[in-house]
Amino acid sequence: MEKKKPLNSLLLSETADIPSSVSECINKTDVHFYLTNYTDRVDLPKDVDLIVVFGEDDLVKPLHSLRLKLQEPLIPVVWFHRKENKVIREVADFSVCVEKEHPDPEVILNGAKKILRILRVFQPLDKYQTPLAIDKVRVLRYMVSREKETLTPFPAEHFKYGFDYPSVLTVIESEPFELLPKMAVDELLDRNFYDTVNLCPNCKSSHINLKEVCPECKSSNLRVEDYIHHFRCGYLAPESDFREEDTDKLVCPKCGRELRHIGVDYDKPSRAFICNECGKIFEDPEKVFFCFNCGETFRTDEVKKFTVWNFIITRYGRDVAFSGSLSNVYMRSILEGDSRILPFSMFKMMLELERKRSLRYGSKSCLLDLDLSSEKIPPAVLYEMIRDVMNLLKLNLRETDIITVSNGHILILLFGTPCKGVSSLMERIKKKLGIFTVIKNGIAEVKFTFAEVK
Amino acid sequence: MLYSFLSHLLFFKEEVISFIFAGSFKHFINLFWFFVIFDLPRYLLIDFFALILMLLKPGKRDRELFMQKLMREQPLVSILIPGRNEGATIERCVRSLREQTYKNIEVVVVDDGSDDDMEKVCKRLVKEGYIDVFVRNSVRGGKASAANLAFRRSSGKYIIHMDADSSLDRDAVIKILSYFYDKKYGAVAGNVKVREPYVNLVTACQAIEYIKTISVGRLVTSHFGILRIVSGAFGAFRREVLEEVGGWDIGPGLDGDITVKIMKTKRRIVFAPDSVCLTNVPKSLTALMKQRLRWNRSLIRMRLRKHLDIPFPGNYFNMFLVLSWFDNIFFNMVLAFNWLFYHIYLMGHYFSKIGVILAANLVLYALSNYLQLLIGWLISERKSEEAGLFLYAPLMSIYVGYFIRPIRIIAYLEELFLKASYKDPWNPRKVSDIARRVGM
Repeated sequence: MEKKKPLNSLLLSETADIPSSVSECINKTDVHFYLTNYTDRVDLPKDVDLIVVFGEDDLVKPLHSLRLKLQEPLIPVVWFHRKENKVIREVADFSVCVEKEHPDPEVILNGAKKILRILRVFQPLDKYQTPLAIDKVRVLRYMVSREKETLTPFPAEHFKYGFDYPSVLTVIESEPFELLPKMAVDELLDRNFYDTVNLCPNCKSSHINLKEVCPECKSSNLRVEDYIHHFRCGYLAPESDFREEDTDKLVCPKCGRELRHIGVDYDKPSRAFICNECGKIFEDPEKVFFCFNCGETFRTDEVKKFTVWNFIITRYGRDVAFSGSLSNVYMRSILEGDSRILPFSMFKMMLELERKRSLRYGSKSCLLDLDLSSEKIPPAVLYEMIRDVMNLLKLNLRETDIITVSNGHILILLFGTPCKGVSSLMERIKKKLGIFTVIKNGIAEVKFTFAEVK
Repeated sequence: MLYSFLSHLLFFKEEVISFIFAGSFKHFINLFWFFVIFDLPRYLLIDFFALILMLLKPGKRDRELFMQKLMREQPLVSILIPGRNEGATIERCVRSLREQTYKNIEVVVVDDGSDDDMEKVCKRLVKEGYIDVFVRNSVRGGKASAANLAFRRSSGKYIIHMDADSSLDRDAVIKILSYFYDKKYGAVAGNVKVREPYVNLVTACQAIEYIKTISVGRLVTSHFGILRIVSGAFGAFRREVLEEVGGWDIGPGLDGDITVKIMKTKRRIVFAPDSVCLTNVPKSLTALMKQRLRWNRSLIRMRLRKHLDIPFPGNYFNMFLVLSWFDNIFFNMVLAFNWLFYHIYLMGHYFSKIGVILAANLVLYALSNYLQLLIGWLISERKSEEAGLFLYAPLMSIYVGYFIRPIRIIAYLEELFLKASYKDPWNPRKVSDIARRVGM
């Protein structure tokens, strides 16, 4: 029988005094590491499968730095909290409000295992990518492993834009509001309109208050009053004009008659605003925004409109999640259908074989490494670049040569060809890439190395 | 031609005057005994006391102090509005409640199985904040059940019952509450007036009638402790009193009935002339006739059947109640039949002169009507609006004598012999059937 894989958990808690429901859950796992007052200096265990958090939402930040330090930040998070908190519910994969919920720990752990199984299917993350690219892959992997098609903006008062994406917040280093739109440009995600947020034009805070103010003196000390229409004499004025001092009576200032009965003596056809400061009467008060963050007041037409989006994972995004690298997918998609293109593992095997063979028989083969993993190359350009290079390769390689793609590199093994024999091919490729470097003003930094297989 | 008409009229007048004043005082009594014995003393007496009460305003100081206390403490007042098919009137009603000078008001509306848009209108008014509690009975249960449901859903210390086709003066609520200064008062009857008096002759006559019988009449009967009805259109109750008497019983005439029930607990009823409710009245003679037939049948049903124990010594014996019972029976029932008898008497004795005598009667009644209306007008809070009614006062003799009284007679006979009120669709059939069986 196959031995079950151990499930190692790590507890992040502000206190050592944890309730029974939390320890019950941890005890079901195999190895436990306890972590209180997490700081950067703590040495973290290598293979953690599950993070258990006990505490309130002030642990979001420690959890964030903890996850980024882990080998795999995407491992599931189970969060036990005393107070109900909607942000915790979003951040954690499984959240338990210990005051009112008592779920079966078995159910939670099974859910966690499911996420872990998906994570294991992913290819190793390409560590040579830029931090931004790594973040992109993490977002996609988060979505795939949590079976989330869509990232929906989540509202909370302390978020700068009023909304944020707390679910992916703790697995990436960059700001979701900067990262996700870039991913939409890369076509890793599709975006759909979700809402428009009004922001302070000065400090971009969403914490702004709409006020109605007097158009004359700009005071917000306003009152709303009904207009009274006295049928008998036709007088029409705000209610306060009719109100007699010291009594509750309504007396018409024009004819002196008492107004006793609505519908018979008088009616209230409309309302008006009256400024308590300057006494001005007006129907439409001016609307202004006040920013709680920077204290500025501004007109409604000055407000900065900010659109928040739903982000939906694309097919391409899903492929990137599995392959672990942005460039791999491009290249594979171009090379598809060519029998000379092998998976990296098989390529590695063949390379090893060729190395041993050349040692024994003294034959000469050449390994060509085309490094296209530079983040500075825009995906669209990269795509074209790879396509052109690959077409070039297809035409110039022999039937016996093999190609693979890994972490943004194109590796070509040319059997029985000494390095000097490939120089003409190299020149042609360089020329081809040179066109791009000229066109794109030197943004393409393509490293081009080759070595004799030894 | 005009001259000949005028001279003819003058001649006629002379003939009338010479006939009436020709003989002795005895002769005059023989001709007009009904007016002289019954109507004149009653109304003169009433007018006299009304005038005195108007000048003295008893309890005024206590009421003012109590009013200040109410304004300070603001106890919750629940206004119950049970209604059926009142979609067209309910908005005006509750809007007048929003305008009240007394602010701590809870408005409870019960829709008793309407088939108009009352439910829709009320739900909107709930959203707009005009109605606090709205309950709809999809199956109709009758006015009493709707009022009891509204009472059950209310929580005020004082309860005001009003009709959906009525609306209140801005100060009506505080004024009616002020009469609770005296612990002995269990309920207060509000003053009810006609909202649109000048639509036609029917409404004008009713406006005068309301002033005579309610504004003036109830002021005096209230003072003597024999006020017999807290009108359903507008009346206030202490919560504990309503609880003690178990709310409303099956109508018609449920407002008179609950008044009797309250008086049976040895409490008194008072009239608030300055707390004014304006109500819609029937605009055609047919509609008016239907309304009055229903009202008058309830006299037989309530006074002569259900509460026949009033004049007899027992647990509920209350001298004021006995007096009001006799006042009610005598002035409504006995006098109505007597009025019929008077006409038969005239036909028997003065058949040839009957036209002249009845015409003279009309003049006498017109004079007394002017006097009554004058008193009513003097104590009124809306003199300029009601001044126009003087134009219609002479019509009142015909209105009362040849419309109101004959209807009364018909209603009493119908109810006495046919128990017509149990067939009135005003109550659901199921309710009438059981009421008839248990004798309510």
